[in-house]
Amino acid sequence: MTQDIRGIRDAIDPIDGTISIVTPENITFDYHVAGPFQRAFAFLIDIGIRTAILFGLYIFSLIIDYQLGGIGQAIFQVIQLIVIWMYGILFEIYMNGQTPGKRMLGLRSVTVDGKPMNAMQAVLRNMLRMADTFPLVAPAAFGINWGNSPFFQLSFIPTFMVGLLVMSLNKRFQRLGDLVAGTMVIVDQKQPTQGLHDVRHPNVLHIASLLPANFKPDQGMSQALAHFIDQRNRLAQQRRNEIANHLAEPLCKQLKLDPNINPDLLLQALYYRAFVSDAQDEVPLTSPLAAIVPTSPSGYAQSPYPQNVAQPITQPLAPQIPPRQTPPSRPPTRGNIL
Amino acid sequence: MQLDKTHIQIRNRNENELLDIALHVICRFPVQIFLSFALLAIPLLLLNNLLIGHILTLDYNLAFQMRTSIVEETYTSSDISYKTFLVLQVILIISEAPIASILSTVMLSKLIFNEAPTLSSIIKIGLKNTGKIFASLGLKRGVLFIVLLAALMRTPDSITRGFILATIIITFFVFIWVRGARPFILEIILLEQSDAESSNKMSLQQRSRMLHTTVGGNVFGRSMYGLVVGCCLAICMHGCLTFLSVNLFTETGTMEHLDLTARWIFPIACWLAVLYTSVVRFLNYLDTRILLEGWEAELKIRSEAMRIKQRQPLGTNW
Repeated sequence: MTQDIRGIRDAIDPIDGTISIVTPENITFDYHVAGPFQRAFAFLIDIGIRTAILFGLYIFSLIIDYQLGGIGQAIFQVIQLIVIWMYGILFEIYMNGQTPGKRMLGLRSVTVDGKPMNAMQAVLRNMLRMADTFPLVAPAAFGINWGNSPFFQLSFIPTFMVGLLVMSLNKRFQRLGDLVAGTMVIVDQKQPTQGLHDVRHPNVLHIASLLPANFKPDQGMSQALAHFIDQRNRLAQQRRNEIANHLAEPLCKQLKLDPNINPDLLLQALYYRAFVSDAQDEVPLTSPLAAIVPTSPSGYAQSPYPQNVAQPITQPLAPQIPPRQTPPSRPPTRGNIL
Repeated sequence: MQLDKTHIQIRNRNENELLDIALHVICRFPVQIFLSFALLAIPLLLLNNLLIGHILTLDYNLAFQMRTSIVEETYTSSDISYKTFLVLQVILIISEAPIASILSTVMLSKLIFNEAPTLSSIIKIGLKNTGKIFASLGLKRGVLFIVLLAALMRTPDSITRGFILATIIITFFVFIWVRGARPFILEIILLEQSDAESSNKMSLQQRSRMLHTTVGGNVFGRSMYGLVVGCCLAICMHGCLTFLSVNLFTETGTMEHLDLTARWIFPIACWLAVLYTSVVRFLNYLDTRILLEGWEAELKIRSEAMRIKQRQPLGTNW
């Protein structure tokens, strides 16, 4: 267990708010831990729901008071205590580590090794919730004078500084309750994928046809290519070439391609090969590459075609792309992110 | 700048993630960040006290105070002085926040990119850019104007003081709007423009326009959100520091020294919140550049290129 924790500590360096947990089966799970500001909104939503429930119960107790006299307030006091203390506990037990607020924001409480927490842990972390609101200060500390009403005389404003300090000092953003119960809050929501980008430009197709037929980017390269294509529309052309050149240079050497190929187009061609097409789908172009991608004085190859090639696909690909004919010897295409 | 040797993982984050990460950044380099921030924040704290400290001892006989109202009983002259002092203190601190964070921003930029800066080296960078910072933050953004107006609050005429106070508040809101739209000007001056004379880099205006207008709405929203979080944090910090000071340093455990609290504890709480928001602003700046310049994509592409280069001598096939 200690080794696991040490391993986790090493894994989250540099600062990222992400922890890696390796299972006994040697599978690594990356979790985004939720910090105080991500959790604050879930907390506020829960406070709102709790207040609404209490308000409804208060109205109900007034009706009972009117009907039966006196007993309504007593019932309300008991139920208020239950709602305040049991709200988090019951929801986290029955909603697998989530309260309504957490569910709305895609957060979930789990144990520090990524497993679902048990009822005892839910009780422990919720019982210590009050400690995170300390120090409680009188309104007078803020220069607020609410008069002599006993309600206001007894009121205190939570500053949450203990919670903030404790969460800052540990890498899993655990508050006191989490530390005692051995739990943490993770971001449960899936990252939205951007879908497939349309890179079927003649120039890209031409370069794709020059790639060796048995070349297929592996998973790591496919991910890097997908990320580049996702972001390239935001970047200036010079910057696209600058980034793409890091990969284009060794690839040209490895694949014995013309080193003057526009690096941005080469990466788009690789993306096309990785996600859109098999080698035999690419239309072979007979014109020499040098005529299409002349080299600029700056050292980058310049294309006569518009550079902003990659666009997110809004139409289905099927009508534009010829039907795929996978030979029996080749494995089926993998990695389409549509 | 080596993107793969940073103390923060280079990737796009949302605003709440940045606020969380800022806490870890402060915890990782507490001494360096606090020291570099305190070097400018403490003189500014003293300056502000010098400019508006007299208000707490003033018989604040404004015309509107004489009016009868339903809360007349609680409207004493000391209340008015106290509230005016707090309002002016907040305005001055928010206006001076970028100036106070000059050294901590330089320090952070070095620390994040795995350099080992000394205080003297970051002071040199700060001094080198004093002219540009004074022109763009002091003159163009009206910090100097607000400070001068605050100094004018020393005038004995209460009506004039009322007008000056109103002018300060209006100027402050304009100032907040302008700064919200262009929050990273300090970072551009300190981190991108310091050697602009020697090369053919973009001018400050061009760089600022490129960085701020491309994702303008996002930048403004984040800036305002940071301001709101900073204000909430300052209030909580003030409550906490007051609680500690009352319980540790008074015999009765009650608030007897409102003057002391307003004069020292409240500004210290505000400056601590400014320290935090300056780290958040720096992270926001990095995040904007990650988005606009594709740092995350570059890192992934470079690591993939590195993998291919390592495989090549082994003659590994794809």
